[in-house]
Amino acid sequence: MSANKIKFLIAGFVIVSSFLFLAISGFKSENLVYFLTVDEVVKQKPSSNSIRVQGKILEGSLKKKIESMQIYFKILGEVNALPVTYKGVPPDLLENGFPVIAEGKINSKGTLVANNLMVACPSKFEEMKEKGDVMPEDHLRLMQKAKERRLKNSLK
Amino acid sequence: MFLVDLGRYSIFFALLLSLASIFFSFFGGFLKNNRLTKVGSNSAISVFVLVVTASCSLIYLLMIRDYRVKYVANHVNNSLESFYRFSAFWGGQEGSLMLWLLLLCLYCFLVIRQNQKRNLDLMPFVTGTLMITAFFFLFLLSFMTLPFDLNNVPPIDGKGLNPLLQDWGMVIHPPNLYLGYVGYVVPFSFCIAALITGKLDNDWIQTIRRWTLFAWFFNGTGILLGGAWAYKELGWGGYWAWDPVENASLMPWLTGTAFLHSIIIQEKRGMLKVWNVVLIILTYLLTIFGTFVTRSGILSSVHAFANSNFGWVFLVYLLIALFLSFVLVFVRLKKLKSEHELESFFSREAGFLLNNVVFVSITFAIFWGTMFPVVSELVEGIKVTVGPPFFDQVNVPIGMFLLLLLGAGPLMAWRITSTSQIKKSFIVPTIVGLLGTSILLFFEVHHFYGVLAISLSIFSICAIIIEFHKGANLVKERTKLNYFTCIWFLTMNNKRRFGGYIVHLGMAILFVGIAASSAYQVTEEVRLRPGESFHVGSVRMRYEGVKQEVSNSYRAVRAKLSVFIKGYQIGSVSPERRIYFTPPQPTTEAGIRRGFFSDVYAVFSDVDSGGAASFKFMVNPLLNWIWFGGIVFSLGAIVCFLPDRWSRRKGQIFTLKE
Repeated sequence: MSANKIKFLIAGFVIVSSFLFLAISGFKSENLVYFLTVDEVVKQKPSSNSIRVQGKILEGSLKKKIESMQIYFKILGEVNALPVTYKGVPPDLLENGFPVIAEGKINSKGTLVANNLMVACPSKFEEMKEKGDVMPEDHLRLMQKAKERRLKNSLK
Repeated sequence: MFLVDLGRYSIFFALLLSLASIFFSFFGGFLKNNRLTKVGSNSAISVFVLVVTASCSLIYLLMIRDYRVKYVANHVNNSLESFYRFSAFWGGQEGSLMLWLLLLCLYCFLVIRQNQKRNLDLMPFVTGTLMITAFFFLFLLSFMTLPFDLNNVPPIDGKGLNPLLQDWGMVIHPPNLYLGYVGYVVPFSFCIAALITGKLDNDWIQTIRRWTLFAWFFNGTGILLGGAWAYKELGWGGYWAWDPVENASLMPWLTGTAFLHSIIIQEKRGMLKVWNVVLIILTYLLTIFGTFVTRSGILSSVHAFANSNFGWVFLVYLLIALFLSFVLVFVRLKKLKSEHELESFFSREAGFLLNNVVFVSITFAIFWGTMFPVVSELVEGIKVTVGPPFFDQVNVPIGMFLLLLLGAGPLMAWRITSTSQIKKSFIVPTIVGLLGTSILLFFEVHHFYGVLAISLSIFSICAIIIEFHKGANLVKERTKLNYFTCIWFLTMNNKRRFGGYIVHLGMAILFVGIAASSAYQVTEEVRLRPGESFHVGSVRMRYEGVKQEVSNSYRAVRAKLSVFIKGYQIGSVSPERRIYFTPPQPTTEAGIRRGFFSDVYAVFSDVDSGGAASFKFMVNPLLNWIWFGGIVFSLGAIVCFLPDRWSRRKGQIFTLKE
């Protein structure tokens, strides 16, 4: 092999391995968000990693402190319920009994401090209905009525 | 039920005819029998006619709201306007697969028409390969997800279209993307044909250049449109989330870009032949993979269609296609040897090679990041998702190389660039780039990658503008025409080269937009009463109040805010909270004030009786440079695509030596 070829091969190797190294080093825990069930979280109380939990909002647990833009609720698992707090503008469709996905870290008190709240896309409600789950349309209708009532009251 | 039967039987016979086409085309090709080949291509054309028939049937059923058909009942309702009834054709699972198939068969038909007198050795295998892909989709539509299935009890009203999707942007996005995705099957088919026949010189490359450009253009604009739509409609102030479905559309574009560059080297220097076949095979596989990811439910995504149970069919097809393609490459390795060698680091060849490595590395990183959750679950049973931090951390540094290459690549000469040449061409762009860096640092803009990205973009933009200027001056010397006319003639007589430079320019502008809006974004969340003001970065928002509004399909609460910079009002934003009637669903509409220097973005919630509301504000610097860069990119791609004979009128004097 000519000297040139060796030069190029070495350069190529260096470039490719540095990219590879970059890619692999990206897989550290901080960049990963772990999916856990509510029950797993309550049992293990993982402290440092970002986690994502999915479940329905426990009936009656949704509290909003509107002035300070704080939201508090509990996510229901099979056995346990996990307290969640969130600060900021909430997404649509955040109501008691609705499915929600929360991402964030567990604080020392065992509460999930969420930095991201996601509600299932309404087309997922179709799936839920087919699975014999909660009937979202009733909830939506109830919610709409509640919102209309609130609107009417607020803009009187 | 005539139309339903017409649709069903069209798909059924298309399935059979596609098999016939595959059989006759491949046999005709191997036996070099023209009669068999003709039967093959005629079968392919019949498949096209049948697929058009099936598509028209489905569209008609959608337009007349025939709820006996499940697909119609699921995607249309009584109050849906005709535009959205038409677009429901690709709005659902079955329909989108039909659109994929329709475009594929159309492209196959066009390719047959275009090549009646040329590529005669390759064409049987091209048709055969195109029909293999068609057969795959016809198989899905015949056995897995049938568009003409009937309801047991036809409902009185359909489910209609999710209001979130009732937006022209969302309607255009899938066909746009599909025009691109499906387009890649053509160069792939030519590649397979070239591998089978062993005709691995430049014939297949030259034939597919414009096809690849076409696919790549629509793939790219599809991605940009998706981002623009997400930014406007989804209410989180961003345009890209490294979501699996987004990644799936980006990966073929990346390998497609590498391929477009790499084939230039094969044409000019007979090098990188193995790279080229590998790149286009990868692009095709990533396209099928992308279609798979959107539907299988294997990856959690905000985009995904309802989970389907036929993802495994895609996986099987992918694995077979992967295996067979790479066997072909392996068998033909000898014929893919380079005609020349790399002579210097400072050459266009080296630049293109680095370009390939960079693009494939980014694609690899994105693929791995996207698939890691699946692997992790299979191997360790741990469910994870890989968030934006991973993709940003890995892709941003690699992307810096790209930014550098955007400008440095065009400055390199073929084979070797002399040191004096390097000095001459690099000096001005480097100085201007460093000037840009110092200005940014002077204004205390401290963000390592933000400053680096913008500096490199300035370097590249400067290098490209100088290339145009040098070329225009050469033309001016010979023709004494007006400077801008010279630029026009320069570009039109060297479309591939200068069209490419325009694309580079567009990409550099786009990158500046991405860098600035990511690195320097300002977000604030606050609760305001009417009349109150709040500062977000250098912008002041004054909340004027709320109003109630009603339309045909929704009722809304609309907030109004005035936007000020240094005391001058530069505009206003009107975010809304809407509740649609059917299906009953709330949505958030962001209020956006778009500007050259920045976008001001606002959403709100929780309005109380006094009119106070919770707001989230964002100032996104230079965000519109992304869309503007995209437009420049599109113009450049169009220039590259234009036919060569448009320049022959003026003769050879404007064609620059490479």
